[in-house]
Amino acid sequence: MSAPLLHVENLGIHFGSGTDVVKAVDGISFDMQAGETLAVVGESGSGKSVTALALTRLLASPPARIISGKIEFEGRDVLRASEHELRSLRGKQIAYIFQEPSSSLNPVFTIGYQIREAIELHRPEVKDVEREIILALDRVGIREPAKRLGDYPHQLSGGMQQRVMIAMALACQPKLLVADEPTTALDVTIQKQIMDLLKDLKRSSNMAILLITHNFGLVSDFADRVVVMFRGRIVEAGPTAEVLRNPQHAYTQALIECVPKLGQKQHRLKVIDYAGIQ
Amino acid sequence: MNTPVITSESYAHRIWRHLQADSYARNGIRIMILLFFVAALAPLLANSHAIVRVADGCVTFPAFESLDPIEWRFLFYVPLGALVCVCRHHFMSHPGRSASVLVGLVVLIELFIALYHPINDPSNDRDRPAEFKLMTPIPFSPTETTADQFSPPSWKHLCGTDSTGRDIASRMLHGARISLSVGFVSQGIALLIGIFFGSVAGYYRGWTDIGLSRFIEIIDCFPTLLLILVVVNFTGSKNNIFCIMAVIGLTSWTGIARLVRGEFLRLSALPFTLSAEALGATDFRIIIRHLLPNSLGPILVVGTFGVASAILMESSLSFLGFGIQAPTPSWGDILSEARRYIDFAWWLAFFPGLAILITIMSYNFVGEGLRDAVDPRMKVK
Repeated sequence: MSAPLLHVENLGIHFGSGTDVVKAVDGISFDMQAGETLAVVGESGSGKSVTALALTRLLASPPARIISGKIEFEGRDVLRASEHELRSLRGKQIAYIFQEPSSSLNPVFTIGYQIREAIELHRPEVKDVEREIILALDRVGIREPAKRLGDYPHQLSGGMQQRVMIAMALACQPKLLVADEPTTALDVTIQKQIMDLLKDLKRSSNMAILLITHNFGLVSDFADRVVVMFRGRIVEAGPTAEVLRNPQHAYTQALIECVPKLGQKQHRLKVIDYAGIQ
Repeated sequence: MNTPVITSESYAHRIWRHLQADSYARNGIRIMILLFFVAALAPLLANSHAIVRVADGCVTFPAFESLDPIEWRFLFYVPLGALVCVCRHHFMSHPGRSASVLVGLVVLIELFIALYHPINDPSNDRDRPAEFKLMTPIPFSPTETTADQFSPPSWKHLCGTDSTGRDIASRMLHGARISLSVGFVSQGIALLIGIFFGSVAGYYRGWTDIGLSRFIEIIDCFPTLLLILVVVNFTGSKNNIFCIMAVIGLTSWTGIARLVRGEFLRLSALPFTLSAEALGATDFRIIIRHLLPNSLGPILVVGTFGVASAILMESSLSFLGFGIQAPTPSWGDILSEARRYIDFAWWLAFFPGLAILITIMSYNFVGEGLRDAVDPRMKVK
């Protein structure tokens, strides 16, 4: 097996100091291969978003401190990288899309301008930037992209905004796309459209995707492998189909049970019983 | 492939359209532009020398000959600036060529000014015989004394004359330059300092913020007017207009710094800052290209109000006798003289007071219009 694209080993992240420490991430390890799709599943506060931000050291410190472990991207040590190296990693190698598309876009600039910035930052060799922006918008399924360039974020719907975010992230042709709950703020039909779009993009490019979600429903036909996080630890990991069919850990079982199934009558939604999980 | 047409308008254009829709702001802007041109062209509006004079068969331009380098610069650069504004689309589409043309023009203008020696001729062209002469609309220079002392407003002296027979209308036109340039320059200084400290404190937070905020509070504790009086006293005879501008600017930036800090604290917690950081932007780029444009609205608004208060501050200083030195006219200076003769020479206080009132009001109207216009979510009426 070749060297992994991303190698995370025994990563520990604490918030605060002294007696008031919160162990947000408590010694997790995982690998990602190029082109692979990995889903990190867990509830709020399980440390999934913190892990995602730590990959390019985007966590504000203080209060966050990375106290142990190793993050390697293509063999390079992220935790020891200089600010300059980090900036060439962010966006260019590892791109992010976030939960709230409406506030992740800068409200005073047109979307064309914002995609242009991404291209100018990391691909100075591009001559016809205008054309590249239109291609980027076209790729994420925005109709008549040339007419949309001058639109401000508030003129677009949530789904369109998220497409613009994806277009921005992909404009630099990153090797890894970190999608941090990309559909949580969207309604269900748009959710499906965005997930379909990500699936298409995954097929057409050799980009690895790290999908962070609390929704097992999104994972099943999207991710190659699943990592389940609970209270800052990885409680279960494996190929998606296997984890879904035969969950080992009580928390994973509970999480899968929580997803309501079509055609099944339930009087009450399942609630996770924390007392039974360790 | 066709170059795409960007259909939506720019942010600046939106603001402009919004301001035009607001009648108070629209008239405020008109008055501001009018005052600006009056200030820039004052020597051609009120001068004891003729614009054109034909005598003994030779044509001379005495009004131009008496201009000093700063007045020449006003005369050249104001039309040049207006030209650039009007033809900006043309300039944008040929950036290289227009830049070289502009640099060439600037070099020519500076060369002319360097080689030019103003003729200081104390006599006037009003009474001097000539075959043809075209006087300025107000044929008196601001520092020229005449025999008509305390003459009330009349067709000869539109706003009357003062104790030494100087024409108040002429002094006010020339005083507009002092008042306006003090307003703009000192507020420019205050904006630069305020934005710098405010953005650093608001973006980096933590100890940087604590340190800078305490520093701002210390500066805020000084009684501004007393501080200015002390500084002006120290500079003594060198006490010139630039000194006044610098002192007003250096003491009035704290409000701007606090505002920018607050805006940056709010904005840097929003996801788009994180997303710019995740894109690999430098701190400098995030501050300049992402956070600053987002806080530009409130900054512009306080800046506009600040210009008004700086004009008022200069008037107060001149009124107290610590402002611009004696022969140079300024609105506050005329008011200060009026104090002694207020019981019979009402015009000495009325006209400069009115000018200050109108200027401050127009700045405040524009400031209030801007406050609504800068919000991109607001619909244009």
